[in-house]
Amino acid sequence: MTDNIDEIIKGCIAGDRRSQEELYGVFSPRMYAICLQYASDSAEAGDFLQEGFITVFAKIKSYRWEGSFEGWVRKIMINTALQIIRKKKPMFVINDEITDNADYEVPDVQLELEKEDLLSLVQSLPANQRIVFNLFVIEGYNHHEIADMTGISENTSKSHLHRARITLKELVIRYYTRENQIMRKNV
Amino acid sequence: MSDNKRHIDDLFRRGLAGHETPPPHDIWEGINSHLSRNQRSLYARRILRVAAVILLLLGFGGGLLQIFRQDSITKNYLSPDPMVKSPEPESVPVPALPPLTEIAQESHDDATRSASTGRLLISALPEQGPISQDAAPGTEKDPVPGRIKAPEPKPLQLPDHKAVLHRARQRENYIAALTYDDQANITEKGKWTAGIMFTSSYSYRSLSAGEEGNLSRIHYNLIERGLLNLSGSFSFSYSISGRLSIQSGLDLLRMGQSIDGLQIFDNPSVVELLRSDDKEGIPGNTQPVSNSMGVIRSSGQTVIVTDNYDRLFNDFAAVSSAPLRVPKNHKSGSIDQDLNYFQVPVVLRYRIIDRKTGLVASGGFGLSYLAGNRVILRYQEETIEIGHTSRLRGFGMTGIMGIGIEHKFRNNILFTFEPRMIHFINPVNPDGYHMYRPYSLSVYGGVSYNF
Repeated sequence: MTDNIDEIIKGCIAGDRRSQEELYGVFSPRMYAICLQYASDSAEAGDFLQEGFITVFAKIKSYRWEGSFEGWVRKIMINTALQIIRKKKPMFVINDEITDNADYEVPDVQLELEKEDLLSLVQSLPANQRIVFNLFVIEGYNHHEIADMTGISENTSKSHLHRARITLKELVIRYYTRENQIMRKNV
Repeated sequence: MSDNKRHIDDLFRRGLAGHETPPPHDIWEGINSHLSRNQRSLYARRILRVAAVILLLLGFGGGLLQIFRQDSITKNYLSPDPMVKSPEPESVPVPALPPLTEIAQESHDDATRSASTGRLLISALPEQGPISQDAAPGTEKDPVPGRIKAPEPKPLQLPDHKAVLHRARQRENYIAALTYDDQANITEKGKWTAGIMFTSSYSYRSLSAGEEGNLSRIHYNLIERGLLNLSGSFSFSYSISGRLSIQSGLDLLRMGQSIDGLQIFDNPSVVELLRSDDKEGIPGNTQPVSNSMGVIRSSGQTVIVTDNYDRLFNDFAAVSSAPLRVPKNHKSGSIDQDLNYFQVPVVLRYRIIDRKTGLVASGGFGLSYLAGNRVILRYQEETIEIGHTSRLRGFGMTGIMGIGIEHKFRNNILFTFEPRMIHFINPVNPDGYHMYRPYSLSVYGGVSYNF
């Protein structure tokens, strides 16, 4: 598989269209899922994916064969998504006071929540909160790195994360309550 | 359903891990059509690159040709063995070679305007011993009547071989260091850049005329030299592709030359001295200074020279032939002919090494407007603006080429260090005896901002 990917990458570097299509075929489902996390709807996610792959093909000559190629593509996708979002909606500054003992616990409803449900909950967040939540929770960046990537301050990043967590917690609890009511009716 | 609680982050992190969703089919079609468009424009970019390289080579070759051609003529004339080194005959008939006299004759009308007293007299000749009136300036008389022989050659200073090798190695190491810089692809297509530059330049000129003009050209090469100047420019550029950009803006070009080897006399008796020894009987034959660029005209009726006598003079004059004896009371001085041009350049810039610290080659042309034309007399510690060079063309075309280093700082700031050569394509003195084309060897240093 790795050798095959390496061949595809070499073909892409040479500008071979068939290799480019193969690369797209291998990585597009995973990358589209990432784009969906950052987008407010599937149309916007499609824009991210298209622009992201155009950037990948344009910059593939600078790939240095170090680390995971998928990680390199993933980073380009996220950066592309951030650039497009920032052009449409500049990040605004907020500065909430966050208490140390803020409660972000929710009932363990993972078995009931499908991936698509989780994704739609994330997409329902405002763009600023969605970006910070994804970068911090899913990608594992810290607030200093997020501040560098998005151009906001670390405090604003923390505030957006706090608001995202509170919003998602409410949405999950509401979902859990509604599911319970439906189950009781059915019983 | 479980009653356990878990952190909201954990719920989403685990829930979305390894998630895959097939994208809509039309996305690949969009990418595919974009790549096809890019491939078509790639051919156009390649043609542009080739054109840029050809332009650079032509500009570079043309510039070198001008310099070497002029240089070889001078060396041939100065050669101690003209039979071997020079295509010219070993002796030259006298009557064909009095360039200053010819020019002086052309300017005869101006001579009549010269005042006879209180005049500052200047001789445009290098300091030498007594010379016969029969010989052209800068030559000495041959034993054979009617012939002159070439003057003693000046020793040529060859560059130190070790120093040249050392510099070449340094250059190689530097290029290698640039190549191994790990910061790649810093330029982006479709971006605008604006910046300011400060320029330190050495300017001089190339002369061209028919074969009969060779001797006077050599004479001018002996008494004239280049000028060092500081100037500046504002530029903006647009990135056509990742490596190729087009640049324009507004440059202040400071060109010109200096006339060296002048003797400035502050004693009125020198006029008498010339008159008494002038066998041709041309008393006080003075002319406006003529040189390779043209005729220097006084700017006003009265120019005050602060010398020991607080003398006034009404015209700025030169002796039409060599002084017979250099008086002891003369003073050394020089004249700077300073031309200031505003230039709008159109330059193609190509990043040969597209790294954080990159190597850029540039070539193009410029349209120049003559905004300033001054002649400055440097006389002891005094600097006096005495007039202008007449009959210069107001507009000119220049060829531009350069190669330099660009260093990217942060995301949007570029530091540039670029040596450039700018050479006038057309002569600036259309009526001149010699076709005078100024050029400058400049070092551009500045900062620009990438939008």
